[in-house]
Amino acid sequence: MSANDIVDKFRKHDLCDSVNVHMETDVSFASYDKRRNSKSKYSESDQLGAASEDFRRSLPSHVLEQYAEDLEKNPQQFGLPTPPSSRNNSGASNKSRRSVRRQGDPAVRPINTDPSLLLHNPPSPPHTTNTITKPADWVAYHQHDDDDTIDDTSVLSPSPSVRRKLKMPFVERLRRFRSNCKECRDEKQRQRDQPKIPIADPPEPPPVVMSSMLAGSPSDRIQPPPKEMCRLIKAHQLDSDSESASPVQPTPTPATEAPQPPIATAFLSPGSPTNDKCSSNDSSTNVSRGSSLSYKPNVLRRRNSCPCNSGRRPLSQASSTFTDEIFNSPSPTAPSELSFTSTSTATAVTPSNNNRHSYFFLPSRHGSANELHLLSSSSYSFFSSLTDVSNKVPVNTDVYEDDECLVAFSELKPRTVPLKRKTSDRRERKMLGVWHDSLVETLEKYPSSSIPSTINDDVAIPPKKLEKDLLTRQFILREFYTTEVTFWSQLYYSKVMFMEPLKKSILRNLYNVADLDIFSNLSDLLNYSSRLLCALGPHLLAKSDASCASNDKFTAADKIQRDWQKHNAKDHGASSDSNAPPLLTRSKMVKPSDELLLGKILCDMSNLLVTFLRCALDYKQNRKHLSEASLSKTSLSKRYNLYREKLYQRKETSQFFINDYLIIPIQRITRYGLLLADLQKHTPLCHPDYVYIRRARIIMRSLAVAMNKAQRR
Amino acid sequence: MRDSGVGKTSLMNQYVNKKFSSAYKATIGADFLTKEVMVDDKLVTMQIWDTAGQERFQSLGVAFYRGADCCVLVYDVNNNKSYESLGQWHDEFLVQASPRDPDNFPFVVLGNKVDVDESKRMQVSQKRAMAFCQAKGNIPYFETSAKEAINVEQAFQTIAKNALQQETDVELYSDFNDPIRIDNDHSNKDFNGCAC
Repeated sequence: MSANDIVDKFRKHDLCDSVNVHMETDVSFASYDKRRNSKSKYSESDQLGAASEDFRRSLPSHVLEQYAEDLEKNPQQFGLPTPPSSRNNSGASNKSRRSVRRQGDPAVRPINTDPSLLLHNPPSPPHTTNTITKPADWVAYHQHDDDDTIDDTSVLSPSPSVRRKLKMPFVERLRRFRSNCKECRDEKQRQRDQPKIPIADPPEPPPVVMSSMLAGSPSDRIQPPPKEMCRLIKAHQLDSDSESASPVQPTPTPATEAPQPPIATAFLSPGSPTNDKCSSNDSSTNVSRGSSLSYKPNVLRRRNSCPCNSGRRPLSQASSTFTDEIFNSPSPTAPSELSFTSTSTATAVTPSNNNRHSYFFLPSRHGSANELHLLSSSSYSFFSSLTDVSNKVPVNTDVYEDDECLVAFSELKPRTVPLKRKTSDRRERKMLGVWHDSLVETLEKYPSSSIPSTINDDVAIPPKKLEKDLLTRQFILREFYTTEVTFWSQLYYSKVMFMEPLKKSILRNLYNVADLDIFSNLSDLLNYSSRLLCALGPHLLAKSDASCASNDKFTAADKIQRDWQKHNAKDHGASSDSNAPPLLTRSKMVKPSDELLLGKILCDMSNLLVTFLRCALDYKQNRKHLSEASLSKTSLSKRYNLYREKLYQRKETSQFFINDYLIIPIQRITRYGLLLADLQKHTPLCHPDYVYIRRARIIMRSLAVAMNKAQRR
Repeated sequence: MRDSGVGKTSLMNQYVNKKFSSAYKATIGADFLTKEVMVDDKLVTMQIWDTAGQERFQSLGVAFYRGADCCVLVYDVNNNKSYESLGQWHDEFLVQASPRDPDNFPFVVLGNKVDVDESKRMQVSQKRAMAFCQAKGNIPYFETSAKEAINVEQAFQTIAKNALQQETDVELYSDFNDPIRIDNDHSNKDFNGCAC
């Protein structure tokens, strides 16, 4: 493990708030490449682990302070994965940063941005959810690596020379390290690692998911979440005080993890422990090294041809650095939130303003939309920069209803994690077209004008029915929330159990970089889900006082939670009402008031739904990839199957494998449809959310149609 | 009669959780539930997938069909339409899932909601259903009620058993996993109907 890792880590951590999570992959690859070049000084002395340990010690004190500060602010990140809304409590500096961002953050689209809603519950930027969990992994791994290497070499403290080098300026270190020869180092490393490479043990699943899976059915969702979780969080909270890694790390624990070799290239496949295979491994190492370096241009090429990126003129500094940001390690001038900034200018124009800019010049494919009460964006700006790239395939226009944008097709964001395999945009665009068509068609079929004007009808409804509807509605809203939490934790589980081990394997050259494609949608999905949870949480989660009075049954959980909050409040001086970790809250879920406009929230986020479409688009390919992986006879697939079997053997993880993860987002959309349909049925017409629920339902439905079509072919 | 489908989710819930929620019928439930069953003295973990909500999107089901060890078709005994589409779903499944041995792939047909009052009931007689099952190659048939928990246990036991037979033929990960997907027939073809 090189010093650069650590530096990267700290830099990354520093930028936690500002660096988008979608950089994660690219960053790790970038740093990985760097690392390859820069492993070095250590190689002479074989004191890698100790050295990096020492490096941590020798870090400038302000970095450590910052680190400690962050740790204090966000203790969760070092342990139990708590869904995003629990992070509303992050410290003041975070908040200010966030509020700045909010100005530039148009919340996807101009309409429906109810500023009070946003201000009231600032949805903590979901990107940080992912980023935030990272340090925990890193910490775990680094420590683990350190121990490992120290044991290996029996060197307990770094030599003075190493220490001296570590005190060099960073750049200097980089330069020098790069110049070192790594072949001899590789050889040594290989010999050392060789005898003790086990098949990668599956990491511990995140407790959230474990409990939710063991709990069995969400239909007992009145049940509070398992108490141990509360305890975990609590324990964790305490632990983070002493800045020690939590014993309840949700991320792979060192004990179960294969020792991570400090130098990726030197790692052997366990299936090839003999010497002759060593040499073959050598060559494969070279090959894959080449490929891992060469995939970058591919990605870039793809990026350039991506409609949403290249079509845009440089709107701001942020978007002009967009590409750079993705492919390089985090730069200090990282824009606050990449995915937002890319649309910021576009969305700053209010919908009432008909001069809404669309950065694609497109013949309206759906002119018919205009003839109805739908308004398509009425004027298109034509930027010369558009025409140069391969972007001439028509993209759909935004779909409007009653002056409000349903889905801003022109502002859909590109994948945050681009696919590494070769794909054509064409298919995606085609499916977007299907989505668009279906949306327009449904809107025509059920025009909003067909909704009877409400006031008169309402009188007719007996109060009893209204009351019953209200109860049902509350039930549905709660169900929506709990299933969303489940969804989130399943995604998170996939991330921890599959994606991250795979990433690590890739770093060790065991697998092809293209394998990561399976997870290319994961961060977007997590992003979507956590944003949704953030938006919903404050309405559904009890304030601590209220729930104490109302809920005798769950006093234990309450108590833990209250302690937790007190603890938090003490630590950060933050107000205690916003920190309830959503997963603790089943017991504390309150009846949502009518202020919760689920439909509106969903409509606001409609642009992010494109991720689900991409899931569906990728599904077949991913599926094929996986079945190839499990059927082929190579040593890699042997590992794959072994891993799979290991998961099966463990009770708590036996129910969920990658294949299942692939299905779940697809299924989630149809479930949204069901829930919304029910919700609509039980919402009185005069309800402020009615129109939004209806829209959200239409959006989901048309999306499902498109996803359905994507499966066919 | 619930307009929210034939009761797949309810059946699943009844089986796994021994619960029937009549207070709120259109519960969405989980994507999948798991249950451990003893079949021939072997402990098998059954993974039951619920396809609720996807009836109108036939191709989405593909995601579930593949890799299934057993397919459970559910129809509503009070709803003729739901019975009539059984055959269609049966064929659809075989096409989509393309099991290695389509002739012997285990299906189970469940006629749900037999608890409904006699007078309104039995649009689909047991005879007709039996005939269908015979024609499709001796598919086991059960009349169930998720509400009253009639026959649910037996039906799923059979499902597990048949799936396991299939499994032992294939000899894959024999004892560890035995995913069974419940994918169901559905009656609501008209657009306005609630999807579940």
